[in-house]
Amino acid sequence: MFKPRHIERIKDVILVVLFFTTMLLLYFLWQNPMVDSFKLSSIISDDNEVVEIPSLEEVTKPEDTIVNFGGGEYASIHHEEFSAWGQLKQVLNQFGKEEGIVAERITKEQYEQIMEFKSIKYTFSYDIPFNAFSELFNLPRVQGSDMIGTVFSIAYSSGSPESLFIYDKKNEGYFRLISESEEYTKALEELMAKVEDSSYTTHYTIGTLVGTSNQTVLPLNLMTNLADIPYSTEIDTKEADYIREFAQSFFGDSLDFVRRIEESKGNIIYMYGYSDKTLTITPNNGIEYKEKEGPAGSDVGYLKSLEIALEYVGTHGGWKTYDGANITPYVKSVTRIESDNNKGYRFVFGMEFDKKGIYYENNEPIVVEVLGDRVTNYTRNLIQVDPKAKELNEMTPEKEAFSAVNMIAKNYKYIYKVLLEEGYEFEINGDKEMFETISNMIESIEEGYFKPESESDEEMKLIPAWIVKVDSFMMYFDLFNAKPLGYTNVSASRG
Amino acid sequence: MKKCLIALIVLIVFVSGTVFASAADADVTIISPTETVSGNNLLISVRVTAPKTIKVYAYEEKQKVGDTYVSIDPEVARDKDLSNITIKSISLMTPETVTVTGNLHFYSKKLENLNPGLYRIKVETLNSNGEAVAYTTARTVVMPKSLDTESGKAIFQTQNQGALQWVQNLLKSIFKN
Repeated sequence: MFKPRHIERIKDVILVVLFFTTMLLLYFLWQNPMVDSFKLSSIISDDNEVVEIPSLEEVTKPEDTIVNFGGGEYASIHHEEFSAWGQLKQVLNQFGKEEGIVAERITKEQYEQIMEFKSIKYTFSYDIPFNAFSELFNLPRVQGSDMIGTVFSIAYSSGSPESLFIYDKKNEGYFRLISESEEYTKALEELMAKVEDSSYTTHYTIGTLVGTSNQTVLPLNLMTNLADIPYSTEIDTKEADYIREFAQSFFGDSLDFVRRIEESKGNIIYMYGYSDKTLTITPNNGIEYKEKEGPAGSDVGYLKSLEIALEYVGTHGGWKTYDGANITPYVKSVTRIESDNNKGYRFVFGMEFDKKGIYYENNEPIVVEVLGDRVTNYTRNLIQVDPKAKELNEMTPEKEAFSAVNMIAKNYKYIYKVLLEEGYEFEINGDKEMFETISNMIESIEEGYFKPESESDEEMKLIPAWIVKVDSFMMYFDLFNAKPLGYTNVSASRG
Repeated sequence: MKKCLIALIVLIVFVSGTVFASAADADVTIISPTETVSGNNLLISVRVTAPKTIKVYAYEEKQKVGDTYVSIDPEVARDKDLSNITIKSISLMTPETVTVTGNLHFYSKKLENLNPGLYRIKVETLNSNGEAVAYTTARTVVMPKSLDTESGKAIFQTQNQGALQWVQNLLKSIFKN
């Protein structure tokens, strides 16, 4: 016969068991997990997961930093060298602390005259709204700044040490920000002196070398240790677990009401509803996520839209590849977009490896469209660069690249032919005029890595190349033999 | 008589060679330097628009003062009338020979650490035997690098007056009564 004490104990045990059973059944009812995917850790939320998201400031960087020493000589440095970009941000900070900053419009002629003095210019690859630029770099609204629409470049000149100069390319405006002191910009004078004392690669303008008017600078002789770098695609469509985990970041852990379609050519498509949300994963070509537009809320502005884009990428794939070498993201272009009264931005993010840009043929590493406060389109085509590549580069002896000016001389007819095929019209009389016309259209030349559009698995290598911007085209030429490698219509690939 | 004839023939050959060699080559153009440059570096840029072999020389034209040769004052050199000066060409570099195979090529070189003065670039066109059949020259005056930043202020002088006027007008409109 059981004593009452034992009965009470049995009741307690039964109550505890019933309690835990109830919790489990509730979990199954709400989450509906697959039995084999049941994990206790997934019930208990994981607060320790750290998502690395670059800041707005970290992804806003100049594409070119050019020092003019006067006398027609220039140096082109990476914005991290000598902390060049950091020095300008500090100057902006100091400008920002002062209350008496005045902005005034100047003429193009005045701008060009003042930039002939020893000067340093930071040029972006897109137009940054001035309000956003001010907010980002602690530059308060200065008197008269309403007339500045965007910042395409910001510069300092020894000829006017109390000023900074802004070029608003979008609205063809030139502006001068005037402070009351020449002390704030001393750091930039020191920076230019350090660059001049270093073993920099001398640059001249195209115009100086070939006898035209083009002010784009290029190196006279370039010694480099860039070499072919093997890479792999970020996503292997054969890795089912990884693909599923990736899809779960878009549709939720349970993938409720989500259809999975596997096409014969290898594409994997996850679709929610009637294409309300679609995730397409393509072998060797990354992913594309689209969301049907609905009420997206009001335009949240440039900085908030960029923040949304950065966070979205951070939580959907992340800003780093799984096990490749570190590649650094930056905003490469920004376009205003609008659809059904929803306004927003398309952000194209570029990638750098070891301070050199990686340029894709007819594609971009990451593109995010933000309408209102929602991401409606996201394409991702990251590559995994061999982690040992940087060491290999450092061990590779330097050799001379093909002369930049002769790369143009060798390929101006090719460039002309491409532009004609793409719809450009010219009235040209003879080779001399053709060369002058083409060389005057060049907006930038730099060395970098080129990723061809289609490659077999054996040929997946980043190729050292001359990256040449000709109007709205990026053209790529082998860095060492100047052979054409391909080209990208920038306005088409970026939308 | 025979000796006189041979001498005459040799003289004619040299003279005609000089005449032909003194003709500039239409396919060779010295783009840089221009007539006047500033600083202590000099950029040589030569455009060649046909397949040929060129040889590039660079000299500093120095004037004799006593027993020595010194750089010519750039202000004097700019006057261009150097007939009163004894000039000696001092080579600045080992002449460089370049064979161009295409129809457009640029030879470029930077000469560093030069003094202000007068400089000359000569580009010879060579035939298949390595003989000069034409030459193209350019003279340039290298001026000292300007350290003047005062002229930068003058660029915005009228601009400043405009800004000052604006402030004055603003103050007048605020305190007009």
